[in-house]
Amino acid sequence: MSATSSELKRRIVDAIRRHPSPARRVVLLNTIWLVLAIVVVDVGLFCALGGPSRGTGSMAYLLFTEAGWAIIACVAVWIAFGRGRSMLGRPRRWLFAIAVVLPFALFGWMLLAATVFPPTLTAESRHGCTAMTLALAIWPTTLYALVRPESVPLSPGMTGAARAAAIGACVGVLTRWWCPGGKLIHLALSHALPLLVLSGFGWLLGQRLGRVYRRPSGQN
Amino acid sequence: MERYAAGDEAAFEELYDLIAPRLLGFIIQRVRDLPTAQDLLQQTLLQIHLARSSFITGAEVMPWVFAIARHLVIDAARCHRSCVPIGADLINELSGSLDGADQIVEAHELVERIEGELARMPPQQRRAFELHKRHGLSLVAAAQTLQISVGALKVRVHRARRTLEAALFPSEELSKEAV
Repeated sequence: MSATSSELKRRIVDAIRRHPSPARRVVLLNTIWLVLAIVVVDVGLFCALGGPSRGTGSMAYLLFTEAGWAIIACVAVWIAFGRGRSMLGRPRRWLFAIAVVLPFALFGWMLLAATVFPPTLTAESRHGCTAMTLALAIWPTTLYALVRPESVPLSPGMTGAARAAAIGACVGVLTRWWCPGGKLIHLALSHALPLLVLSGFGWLLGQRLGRVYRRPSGQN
Repeated sequence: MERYAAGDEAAFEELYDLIAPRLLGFIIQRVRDLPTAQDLLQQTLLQIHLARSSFITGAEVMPWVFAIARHLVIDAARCHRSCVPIGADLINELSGSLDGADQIVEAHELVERIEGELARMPPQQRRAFELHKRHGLSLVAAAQTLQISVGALKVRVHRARRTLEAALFPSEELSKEAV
């Protein structure tokens, strides 16, 4: 039986037909709804936990940090969830940058903000920032991986880690708004470090759900 | 592929005709068993079907397809290693003749010990040993698979043998029989 034999082809086509796979447009719409639902729930949780806090720092400092954090988060999402022009995904070093270097980049931004706005170094911080970041980020990371499973032929673990870190960065915008404190040690340990924890969690998810593995053929 | 990703179901058969021959050749080079290769071909195409919604317009198809196939080949090799015990001829080669009624039990115990020792072995030696002894590849084929010279492969297989012999047959008498 060769690759071009009609029997092999028929067998494979029959196996394909036993596994429904929606077309691109349907998946795109479903993904948009999923993301919107996640955003609504997370914002709802954020409000339920107290919502934005003005804090004791200046409004300019808050806007400066939020804007920078949001821009970095958007870039992280674009890199982590996009594949560029290749079905093999982003280069591994890009994913590594998001998964591991991103938290340091965000802390670097906070450091820059502290340099620009020195009085904010003593601005009051809140307790529970780590828990909030993890709580708002872990469930959408898991849900996305379960609802939109993708076989990532290269670096599934690193892809999962980058995506989790990117989601954490987005959630960090809310956390930052909830806790606009300026103490650097607090920012490092409670705002930036949780993203590394998320990266580790995302790596495990990616390895488990994202790798290419043998699927049941569905033959009787 | 673009048409298939957009929902044109009839495009799959055209896609099959375009990529299946090359893909099967790619897989056969790695598994050297036609039924297994055909099964992996089916698995690869199934993966492509399930991931069609994520296809990027204008992206190259074959590198993606080969990457999926390669991982499935690796997955199949791992399963084969855990599911299929080492052949009896290998057992005999390493242990010499076993006496009478306990032969089967001792052979099974020996297989378990061999599997354990292989797991502890340095990866380079283990891969060389398994390709040549377990999968039955010739020295040349195994060397090509590992992208090393035949001489280097022989050294690794020899070291793996010595490691197994030393671990499984610590007494000199049994070691001599095994050699």
